[in-house]
Amino acid sequence: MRRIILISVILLLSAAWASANDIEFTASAPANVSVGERFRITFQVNAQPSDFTAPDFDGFRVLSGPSQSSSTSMQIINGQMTRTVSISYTYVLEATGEGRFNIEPASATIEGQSYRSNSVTINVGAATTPPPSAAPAPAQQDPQASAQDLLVRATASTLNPYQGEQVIITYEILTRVGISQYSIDKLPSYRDFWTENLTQPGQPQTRNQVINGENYRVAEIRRVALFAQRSGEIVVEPLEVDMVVNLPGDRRRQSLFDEFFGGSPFGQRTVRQTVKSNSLTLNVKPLPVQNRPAAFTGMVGTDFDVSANVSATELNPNDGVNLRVSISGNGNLRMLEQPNFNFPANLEVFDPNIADNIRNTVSGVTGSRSFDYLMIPRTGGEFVIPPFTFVYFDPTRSRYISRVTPEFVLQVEGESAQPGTQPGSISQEDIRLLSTDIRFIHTGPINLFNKGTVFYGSRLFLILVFSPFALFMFFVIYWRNQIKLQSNQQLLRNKKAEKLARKRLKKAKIFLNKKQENEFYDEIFRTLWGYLSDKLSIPVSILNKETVEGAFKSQKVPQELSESFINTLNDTEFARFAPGKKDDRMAEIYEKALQTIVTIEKDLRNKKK
Amino acid sequence: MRKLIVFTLIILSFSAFSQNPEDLIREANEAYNRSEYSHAIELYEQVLALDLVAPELYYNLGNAYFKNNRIGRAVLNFERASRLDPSNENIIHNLNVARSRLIDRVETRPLLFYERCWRDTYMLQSATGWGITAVIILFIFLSVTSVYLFSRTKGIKKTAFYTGILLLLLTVLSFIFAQKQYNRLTAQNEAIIMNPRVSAKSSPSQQSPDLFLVHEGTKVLIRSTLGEWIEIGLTDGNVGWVRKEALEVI
Repeated sequence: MRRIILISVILLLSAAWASANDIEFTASAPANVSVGERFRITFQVNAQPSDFTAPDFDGFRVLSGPSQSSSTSMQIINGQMTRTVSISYTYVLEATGEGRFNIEPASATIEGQSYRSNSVTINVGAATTPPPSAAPAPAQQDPQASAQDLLVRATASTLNPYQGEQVIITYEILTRVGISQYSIDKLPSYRDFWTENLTQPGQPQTRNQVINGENYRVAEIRRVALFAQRSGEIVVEPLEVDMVVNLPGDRRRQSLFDEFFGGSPFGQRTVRQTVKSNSLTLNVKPLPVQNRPAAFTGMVGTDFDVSANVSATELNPNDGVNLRVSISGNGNLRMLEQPNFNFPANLEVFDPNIADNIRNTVSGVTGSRSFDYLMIPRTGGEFVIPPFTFVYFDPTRSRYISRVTPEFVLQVEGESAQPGTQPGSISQEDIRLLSTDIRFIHTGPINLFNKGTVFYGSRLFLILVFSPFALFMFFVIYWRNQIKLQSNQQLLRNKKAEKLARKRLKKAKIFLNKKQENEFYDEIFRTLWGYLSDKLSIPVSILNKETVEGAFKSQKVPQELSESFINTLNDTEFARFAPGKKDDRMAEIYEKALQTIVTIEKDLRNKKK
Repeated sequence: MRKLIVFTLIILSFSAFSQNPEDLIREANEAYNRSEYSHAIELYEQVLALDLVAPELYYNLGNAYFKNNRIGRAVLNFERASRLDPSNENIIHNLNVARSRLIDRVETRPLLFYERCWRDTYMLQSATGWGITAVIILFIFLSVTSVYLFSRTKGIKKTAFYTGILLLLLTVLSFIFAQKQYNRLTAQNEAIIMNPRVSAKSSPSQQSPDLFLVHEGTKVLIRSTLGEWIEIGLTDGNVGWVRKEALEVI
């Protein structure tokens, strides 16, 4: 509760403060008048004051005043009503003497507080009545107003613009003589500029101005906005104005009556005269290259803003949706290029409709240009319209400013991108290349090496090529020796094989005689296998009937011999493990083994020969 | 301890004297990132001035030149990078992009199928790459040969024999490819036009008539040299003389 009170108090206070802050109290009067001229000074305040005190008008005579007027206006914006009150106090003054006069501020009390207006400075020039001409020139048939009395002045809002910046050129007629008519005779060509005419229709407004102590009537006759298209020094050519001038007539022929009224046509002569304005030289600066964003397309101006909106975000395939991008600001909007959007590739986008709302005002070209894109999604799914960045150069701040539109997501009903499923749907396209650019630099570590060093052909390379050969040769020689050694051993064993077999058989014979069956069979086995191993150079460990057969075959031992050998082996095995009496077969097997070894030995020996 | 201090001092004095090339490259990459391409170019060129090269260095330099709109220099550096690392996809891509921005489009005879195969194969690796491959395959070949020579088992022997023949073939090819790439790398017969436009003359003198115009970035073959003049040949068969300073050898 307490808090609410506190907040309301703060709100009320701030509202009061805000309203108090909004009070405007201004004094306005013409800046230049001439002696004897009557003019108004107005004090305007936007609230009802309880008290108003006018200053002393030193140097002026108050002819009338104060006259008070008030106006009230009401405005309703978004349901909020704002009320504006305007009260003005007007005095009519007359200048009494030449010089520069300062009118002090007026003061007023509003809601118990005292406010002061601004002070006003008024230059009072000499009387407008033309000075009497000392030397009359009766012989002069076609007198002209002198350059001092009549001139056309061209002024530029800035002489050092940036390229593309808006420069407002104003042409004014400054005169001390009457002009009844004027027409612009020759317009400058404005080469190297884009031109926009800002001249407001209707009669030109006139005002008084004191220049070098002389009082002139000033009328603005033309106003243009120029946008420099290149940088460097560019000269704006003069404007030529054709005028009908009312010159004061011959004094002698004027009656006193005419002189008194000054402006009487009877005492004046009308002369046609052409006056040239001054030329201007603009020193156009190029736009800075540094920090120029890539998206910059050349727009220069102030207060640019970009808005974008889509007409719908949820739709069906083949429905149209409108994207409106609007760019507003002060600058050369007619030169604005269409935004460079990266539309999704399967979204059909038509060229935009361009709608302009560009006004040429007194202060320059301003307004907005909008681009309407009609987009038709041809398939379902989600389409993302990426943000568009508008970059412009603000010459008042001398920097580039970016404005970004939001990203839009269109949700389209249905399956995404199934080409060919719908009749009439667009055919499948190749991947559309939006632009080609180089790939990014290599940022990882770089293995630098000396220029001219190539591994191929280097000393290291040659070493690496020839060393395997050397190794290979060494290996071959070593292995050869090794084989030779081994084969010698085998040769030895081959030669000794028969002897060894006989020795073993002798042993077996002893076992036979002693009738020791197991030992006998063991010995016969060992004899047969051992003989084979030695003879055929097969290690005992891998000996079996199959390898023996293979070895016999490769040695080209006849089939029956190898069979008889295998038979002997089989018989020995059978006899050994057969039940019943074994001793009767022992002699037979002994004979068989002996026989087999002898025949094989004979056969192999024959082969060698 | 004293030794250490002296050593450190020496190192420090060195680094003060000349900047470390790795630092230069890092600084250049950062400059590139900030779009200060001229500065990046300057730094990359400083590394090259130390007689140090790398395909990535040429590649980055080419990128910087490209971004600075000096397409001729960009093409030159991409070509140099491509010579050192012919199979790098990024280099090939950027070289093609840079070439697409050139003014001249010189017609080249399309390669026949087998020519393209042969070219694509030897372009797979640089001279160094093929050299290493050759050494490795040679080693394997000799190993397999030893197996063949000393194996007793028939199957192994047979396999080793055929593998050996295949490896021998591969070894020979690797050597041929390495030599081919080495020739490409060391050959001084290709150049890139550096001037925006150069008119090729019919003979090596300023007075002789102009034959054709070549623009910046076009690759030409150097046929002969005579004093300040170089006889160039285009891939479409045109031949003419240009001044030496108008081009730079890759």
